[in-house]
Amino acid sequence: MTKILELEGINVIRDKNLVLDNVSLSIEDTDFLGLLGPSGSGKTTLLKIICGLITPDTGKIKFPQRTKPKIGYLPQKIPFLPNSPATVMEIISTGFNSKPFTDNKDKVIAISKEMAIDHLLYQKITELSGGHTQLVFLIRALIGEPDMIVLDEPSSSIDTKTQSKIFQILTNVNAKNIPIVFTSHDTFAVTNSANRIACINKKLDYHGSSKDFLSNKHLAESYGYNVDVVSHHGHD
Amino acid sequence: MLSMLAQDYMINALIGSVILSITAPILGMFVVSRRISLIGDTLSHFAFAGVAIGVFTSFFPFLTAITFSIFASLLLLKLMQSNTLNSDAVLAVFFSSTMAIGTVLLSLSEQIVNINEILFGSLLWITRTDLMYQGIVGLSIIAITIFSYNKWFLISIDRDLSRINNTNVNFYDNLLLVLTSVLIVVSVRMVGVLLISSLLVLPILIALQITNNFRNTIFIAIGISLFCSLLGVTSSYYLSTHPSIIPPGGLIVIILSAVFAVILLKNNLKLDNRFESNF
Repeated sequence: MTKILELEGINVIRDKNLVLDNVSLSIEDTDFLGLLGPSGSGKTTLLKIICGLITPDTGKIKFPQRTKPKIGYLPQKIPFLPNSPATVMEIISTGFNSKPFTDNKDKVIAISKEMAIDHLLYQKITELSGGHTQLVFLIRALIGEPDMIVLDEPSSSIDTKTQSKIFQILTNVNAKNIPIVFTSHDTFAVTNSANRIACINKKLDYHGSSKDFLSNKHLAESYGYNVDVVSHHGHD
Repeated sequence: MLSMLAQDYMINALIGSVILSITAPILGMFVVSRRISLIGDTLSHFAFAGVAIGVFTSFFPFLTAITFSIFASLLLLKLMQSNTLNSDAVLAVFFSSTMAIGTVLLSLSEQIVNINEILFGSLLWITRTDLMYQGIVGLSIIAITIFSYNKWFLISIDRDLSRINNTNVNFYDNLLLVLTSVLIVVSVRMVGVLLISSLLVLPILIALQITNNFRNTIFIAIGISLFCSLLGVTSSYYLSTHPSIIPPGGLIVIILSAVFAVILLKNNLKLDNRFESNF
């Protein structure tokens, strides 16, 4: 196991409110880390700090491998121009971060077939449903062969069948020692897929294996009330 | 037609309008997709103030316009990116204040200036030197766009995704604004301060109604812009009765607006028919 990233004593204050309170967390290459916590608990802020999009007010971000990992990121929401002409093919192609005139069409078609959205490749992104849009941006996050994948609620607009497929693909990616960090409000999806869990409500209430987590005490600490993890129909 | 092509000033006007028709939609696409369509108007007012500074100080107006426009556009962007004021409020302040600076300086100047020429342009009086400046700026815009296309495209979709891809978003924002400012300065003589921003935005808005992807929007917009500009310049030649000259810039914008209205109407009628057939 190799440490990819370490957060030490992270504090974030916005408009005099403490958003993150002394959060310390490390991410290893084998981690499939699910972040749980109620709305407004600081999950997205923590993801943005990991991605380098937000600078914490105090605390340290360390890269033990000395190089900043290349991150594949799925944001929570993409605000599109109402009549944006960008197609699915054009959006996914931006995941490569390649030089001008590089043709990545074949790679895009291959992964789109795997995710069963190849029939949408030449459609405008604004004509897609919320679930399909999320899937497109997820493919975009995966396609550039990142060193680490960060996903902000990857399953929020997706049906349970596609959800299982996505988590299966993510598990396969993680098996190649590419760490994955994701947030979700779906406690079952997190406990079922992640090998490690961090429970956060401004402070880090729990960080450990998902097996140890399932004693509901940790969830109750973060959410402030008892939470039961119940299996969905469609999940194994 | 041949009589028109026998005139040197008409050849210059046609070449100038071709260069502008190719370059304006390229930058216009990224301006529109960044939701800052009105920025063209503000930048053209910077050019107006810049020219006025040159006239007032009796120093080359072209140089003062370029310098003032670049610095003012960088300041504008800085303020738009800060959370102190809304972007539209910043645009409104710069829009009116630079126009005011220009008007006051021109009225204080000892030189006699044809203000109509600055406001509405004079495509028929452009010189070979103007064309040379336009050509250099045009080629630079094409070259820079080829190498910045992927970055500008991703920034127009989501700035955070661009930052994670290690893109210096501020640099590419500044680059887009500086290029647009320079294009406006070299084109103001042709179409004027009040009309130049239409050439950035209207061809793109028309193309967006008929396009099927981001890249093609630019090519379709260039085609539309070329057609409307050449038609505007030619119409101006044949419709003008000596000594009054119809400004070609005005005709180009009227033709572009008419094309936009027709396509918008046609698309809305199509939508209405589809809506009715569902009931």
